[in-house]
Parts: sequence; C-alpha cells; structure tokens
Amino acid sequence: MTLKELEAIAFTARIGLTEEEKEVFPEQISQILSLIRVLDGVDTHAAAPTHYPIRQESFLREDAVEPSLPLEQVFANGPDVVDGYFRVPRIIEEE
Amino acid sequence: MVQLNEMTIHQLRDLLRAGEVSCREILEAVFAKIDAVESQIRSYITLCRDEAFAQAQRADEMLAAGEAPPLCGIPVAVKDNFSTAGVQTTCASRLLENYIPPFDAEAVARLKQAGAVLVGKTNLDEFGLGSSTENSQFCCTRNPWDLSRVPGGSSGGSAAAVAAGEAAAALGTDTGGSIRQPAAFCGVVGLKPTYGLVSRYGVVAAADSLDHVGPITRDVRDAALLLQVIAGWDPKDPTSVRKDVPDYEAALTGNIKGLVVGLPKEFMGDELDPEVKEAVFGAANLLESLGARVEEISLPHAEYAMATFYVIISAEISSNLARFDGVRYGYRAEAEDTVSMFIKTRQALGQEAKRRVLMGTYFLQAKNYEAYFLKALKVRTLIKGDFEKAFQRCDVLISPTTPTAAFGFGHRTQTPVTMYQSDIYTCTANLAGIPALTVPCGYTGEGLPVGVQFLGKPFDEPTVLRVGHAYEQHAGLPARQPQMEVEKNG
Repeated sequence: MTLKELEAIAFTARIGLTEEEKEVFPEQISQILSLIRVLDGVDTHAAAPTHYPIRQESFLREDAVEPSLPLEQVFANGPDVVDGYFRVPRIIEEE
Repeated sequence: MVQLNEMTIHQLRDLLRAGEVSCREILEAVFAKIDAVESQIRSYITLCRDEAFAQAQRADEMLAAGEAPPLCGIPVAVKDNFSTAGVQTTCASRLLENYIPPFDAEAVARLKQAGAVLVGKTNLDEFGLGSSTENSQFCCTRNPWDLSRVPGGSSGGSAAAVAAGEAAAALGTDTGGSIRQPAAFCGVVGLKPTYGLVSRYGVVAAADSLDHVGPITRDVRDAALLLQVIAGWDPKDPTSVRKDVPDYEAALTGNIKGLVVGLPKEFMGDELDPEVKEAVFGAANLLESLGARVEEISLPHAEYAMATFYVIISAEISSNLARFDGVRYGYRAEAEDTVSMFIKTRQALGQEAKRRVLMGTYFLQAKNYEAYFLKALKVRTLIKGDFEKAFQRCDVLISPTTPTAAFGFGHRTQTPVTMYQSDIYTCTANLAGIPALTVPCGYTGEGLPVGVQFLGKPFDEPTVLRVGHAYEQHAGLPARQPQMEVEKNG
C-alpha cells in the first residue's frame, strides 16, 4: 500500500495520522494484506456468508412506554453543550 | 493458609453463609493486597474503594437479614469497556478518558443484583484491540507470575487482578481470545460462552458478531457460578438468545465416562511451543484415564481462521468506532471546521485501533467488499461447518489455549502480524460462536502458567464446564501462587 492510498483511506475514515504512522503503516498494512491473501485460495462457491454465528429469530418488542434517561444525564458527557444541543464548529459557510 | 483475597467465590460463599467472615473483612483483604501490589501490577484503571465498602456493608446487612443472593459480598473486577453508572468507563482510550456512563451494562447490573461488590475497572488494550494489554493508553499491566512479561490481552487487567488476589473474580470480553488468552497467561480460568447467551448491552462494542462477555475466575466452579448470574435473555440486546438457562453448577458431576473428546490436529502444528504441547497432551491423557475417549480430528479450514477473523473484526471495528467523533461525549480536539474536528479528534486513537479502522475501511470499500469482506464471511461459514462436523462425532474438543506462555514486553508490538498469532487457537470459537473454556494445565520450565482449552457445541456450556471441572479436580497441579516479588522488581 502506498502512502497516497493510505492517506485516502485515512481521510475516508476521518482518522488523523502522525508522521511516524505515515512512515510505518504502509509496510505493516502490506504485511497484513499478504497474510489475508491466503483466503484467495479457498473454494467458497457453495458457501453462503455468515454474518452472525448464532441465528436468532427477530421479534418485535411490546409497544410500551418506558422511562428514558433525563436530558441532563444525556448531555452530561457532551464536550460542548448549549441549550439542549451539542455545539460543533460551523458547517454552513457564511454568505 | 489461604488468605481471604486468594479464595474462590464458592469458598467465600461458604464462609459467609456460615457466618465465619463478613463481606467487609473479605473486601479489606482485597484492598490490602491492592495497596501492596497494585503499583507494580497495574490491573486497574479505576478503583471504586468507597462505593465498594458501601456495597459490602449492604451485603453484610443482607446476610444478617437472612438473604443471600448468589454473589453476596463477592468482590468482582470489571473490564473497563463495560458501562458502569457513575463510574468512568474509558476503554483504555484517550477518546473516553472522562466519560461517565449514565447506566450499567446488563452484565454489571446482574452482578450487582446478585450482591457482588464492584472493586474497580480493569485495564485492557484500547477498545479491546490487542493481545497483551500493551495497547492501553493509560498504563501497562504486568503479569503477576513474571513482572517482565505481559498479562495477555485484551482483558489483561481482569486476568492479572484475579491472579494477583486483587479480586475474587472478574468480567472480561472476548472478541478473538481476549478472555481465554490472558487467563491462560495468568494461570486462571476463563470462559467465553456461546454467542448470544450473555447480553452485550452496555459493553462498548468492538466487533458485534465476535464480541462475547464472560467470567475470569480462580476455578471452574466459580466460572459456572458467575455465568449463572450473567447468562440469559436480555431484550435490550437483539443478539441475545431467548432460551432457558440450565443449572451450570449442577453440571459439575466429575463424571466424564464415555465422552468423546476431539483433538484437532491443526492446533498441534509447528508454531506450538513444545512445553505447551506436552502439557496439553498430558491433559488429554488425563481425560482418557477418567473414562473419556480422545480422538484426533481435523478442522480443515482452521488455517484460514486468522485471516478470516482479521477481515471481519477490522470491518466491524471501523464501523463501531465511527461513533467516537467528539460530538456527543468523550474527547474533542478543537478545529475550525467539523471535518477537521473529526480528523483531529480521532487522531488521538492508538496505533492498533487506527490500523484496524483503516484496514476495515479498506475492506468495506465498494471495490474491495466482495474480495475481502464477503469472502471472509463465506470462509467463516466453512470454519463453522468444520465444527458442526466435528461435533457430530465429539462431545467436546481439546486444544492449547495459546501457542506459547506469556511473552515479554515489546516483543511483538513492532510486528502486528506476530501479535495476531497469539489468537490462532482461540479466534475460531469466536467465528463459530461456540463456548470455549481455558483451564490451567501446567507450568513451563520458567514457571509460567499454561492453559488448555475445551470447546463445545453451541449452548452446551454444561458439558464444557463438566469436562473442565473434572480435569481440574484430577490434574493435581501444584498449588502455586504467583510470587510477585514486588520489592525485588520495584
């Protein structure tokens, strides 16, 4: 994996990388990808994918009103909370 | 004489019921040990001393009133990826350094309901990603058996706490071996139950389809007792299974006559340390002497398990860790615009977490999805099929838990692929969702503990525990305690 490819994936994942990581990750990731290439040789034409190991029937819960957390608890961990909102940097440009 | 802080849950339970000790005395013994060794072992990220003594007092009051819930007054440690109401829950990550959950994880709520006392929150690899607890962003936990070695991971703090006498038992989570590998490295018992048997509600998710909650204990009976409390359907976890929970302690009959025990030849390869191999063969021979029949079997797709596991765990992690964006809780880096805020905030993740998120993002890209992610899910079906076939002939399987005993600090951190090899015998059970138990089965020449793993059919924890218990009762291992040599190494 090249540094350019790595940086593109990091941007997709919204992950900032340090200079050290930019140096060591491409080689480490290439090693991991070569480990995974062993799967290419497995015949899976007859196999369906397994997303979850144990099948559980889906069901609907009873439509009952239950208590929920009070707002002050919900917002207690917020890094920047104003009037019942999480405030973030401006998203829409000013005219 | 065995100290209170070194006793099993069932020994403590018997003493409490006989009125020979109080919950307070037990907790005092535990905190005395913590005060003596914790500066060296570093099992805990957070200690809950005041609240624990208040819980112990309530437990003593319950006993005095003639009530004795199953874990009344038992001091338990909980891995720091379980939400605990009012107690910070960090996942050993800077991203959650000051996060205080407003609710308890279901497993924690059930422990409290059963009268257990929460001693503290234990160290782990950040978000459970690692096999040595070296990926914690806060502290480095040492193996009580040899302070120059890792305790294993990711539940390294939980295993070290139990081994060091800093708690009677602990909860861990296991995504690819994170209960069993540290339990084996620290000479204690660890159980990963069947997928869906124990609720994951309130556990900070690493990989949904692979994460399991389970006990780390001093013996198999304690694993059964703890499982009894945490097992069972929880409507808050959609993957939790609606099924009656059997009596696990009643399954410990000591009788394994006629059981067929499979020994997968793929788990006995060249990567296996000769001393570990000898100990596991010794365990198999003992089972035969107790009336079981041991047969060599094959799990032909086991060689693909590590690669399959890596693709699936990375993909699921990249999705689950997306929630740590600095908006609603946890750490936030200041930035001019929102996208830069996400990127700078998430730059605080450790290297292993970043590598997995990056790899997962790569596997899930439209151009790679089929070749990597879908392929891995199909190979998972084949691995699961191998077990189904094996269990047509066998009641349980026996294998090593880890290829080696505990390794030294820094030995595997530079080459992630080498670190991943620590999980080669454990991750198959996560892919297939089957129960797996590790039990101490000997020591290396250097005096390090070795674990043997028993795997069973889905929801057949009773048989897995029965075999593990019968083995443990007859193994005759020397009753060693880790000699922490704190002063010498300090």
